[in-house]
Amino acid sequence: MIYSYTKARSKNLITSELKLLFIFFFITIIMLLMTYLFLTYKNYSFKQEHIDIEKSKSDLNISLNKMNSDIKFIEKQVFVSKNIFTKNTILKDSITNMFDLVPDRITLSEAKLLKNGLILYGITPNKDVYNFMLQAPLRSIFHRTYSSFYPSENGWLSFVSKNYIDEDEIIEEEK
Amino acid sequence: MLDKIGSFLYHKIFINIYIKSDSWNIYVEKWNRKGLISSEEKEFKTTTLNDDITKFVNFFTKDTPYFYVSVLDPSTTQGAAPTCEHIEVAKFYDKTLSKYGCYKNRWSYYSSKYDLDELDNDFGDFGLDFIFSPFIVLANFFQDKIETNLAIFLLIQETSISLSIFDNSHLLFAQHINLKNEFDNDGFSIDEDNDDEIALDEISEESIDLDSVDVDDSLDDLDVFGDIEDLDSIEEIDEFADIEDDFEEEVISETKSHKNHSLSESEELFDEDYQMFTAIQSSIKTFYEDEKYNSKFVESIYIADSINISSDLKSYLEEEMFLNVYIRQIELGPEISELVQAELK
Repeated sequence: MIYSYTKARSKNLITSELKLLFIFFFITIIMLLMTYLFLTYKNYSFKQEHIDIEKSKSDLNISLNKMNSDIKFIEKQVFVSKNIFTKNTILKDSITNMFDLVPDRITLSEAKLLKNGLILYGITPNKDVYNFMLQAPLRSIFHRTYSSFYPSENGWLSFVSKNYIDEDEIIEEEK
Repeated sequence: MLDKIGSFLYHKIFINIYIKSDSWNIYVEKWNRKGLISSEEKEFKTTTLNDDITKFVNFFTKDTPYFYVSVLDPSTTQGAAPTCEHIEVAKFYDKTLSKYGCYKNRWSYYSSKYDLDELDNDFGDFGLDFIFSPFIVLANFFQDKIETNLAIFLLIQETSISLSIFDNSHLLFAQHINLKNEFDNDGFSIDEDNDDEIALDEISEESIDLDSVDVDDSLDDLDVFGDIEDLDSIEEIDEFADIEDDFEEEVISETKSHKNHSLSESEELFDEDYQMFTAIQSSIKTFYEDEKYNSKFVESIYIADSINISSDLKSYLEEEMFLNVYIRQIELGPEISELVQAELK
């Protein structure tokens, strides 16, 4: 206040137009910020989802591998079971055939099936019955056949017949 | 700090107002950091702040908060005193009723508190930043002369004269003369806005009633002079009678014109100039006679003329008061603007 009776009123830097402009910019910035945050969140979300999917994919792959191995194992088991079943069927047939081989006059008391052989215990009225009616078919089946006799209390003969198949020979035969 | 930022962002607008008897003059200056961009002045035929003025000002101020409204104090009760001392100023004005300021610690200027408050109220919502005393304008305008001269300095406005006497920048005397009051007191009202009929009545009461003037009676009185032998001849008396007749005609025509309220412009100016002269003369007489002033003999008068005064006033001052008269035209708008800028520095 040098020359005037009054002091100048304080001037407000922000006019109503400027206020409007600031509000406009503020809203724009807020909207941009919100868009940025939304996109950042979405990006993060997509990345997370991507990681999850990757993990899931990896898990699935592992699971798939495991399943494949299981399938292989099961297939193997199936194969083995089929094989066993076939073997069993063959064995069953063999046993049936074997019992069919045994004539009525010979009585078996015990039969032992080995991997590559058959051991039979029984009684026969005499050696000839045994030799002609049982040993002959056994020899046609097995490669080696050993028989031993010992007299029984009722005059019959107890016998032990050990029959073996040589696998080497089978392979050679197959060849 | 904010002002600096603001000056980068906005223009500064100086709205300078000086009020005349029947109009408001608005002088607007637009500034940026580099300097003046544009200026415009407009006169509004109004005695109060009206919508036209508001619109005109708003046109400039709408884009910037940095606008300053200044007005030249139109108060009738104002003046200046040759001191800034609190005790001393009491001799010149009542401090309780006045608002005052000190100019360069040399002299003080004052104005009626009531008038300033009323002026502030008149501006209302429009607002007012600065009110300047005409003495400040005068001191600023004649700064170069005031510092080196002992002289009378006048600021002549349409309705007032601000008279000051400076002796090498020391104020000796100051008076604010309200011309409207001066004219009214003398029955020469020029305020056309006032009630015309009342003015006419006053004129007719105070002027010569021609109907009551008996020319023969006047001539009868002249018979007394007939006995005087030194009178050169009757013819001369006849001539005098002729002059009387001419004067009578002049008075008739003048009175008629008063009655019709149609004084010619030159006559009106003549009256105004003479009234100005008498007011100035009276004021200077006060300076010489009043003991509270340190009176000195003054030979020069510098006039800041804002209304284009006629040469008659100059003649009166030169011939009647033997003063060296220097007249300088003043544009009040730019002068107020200069003061605003000085305030803001």
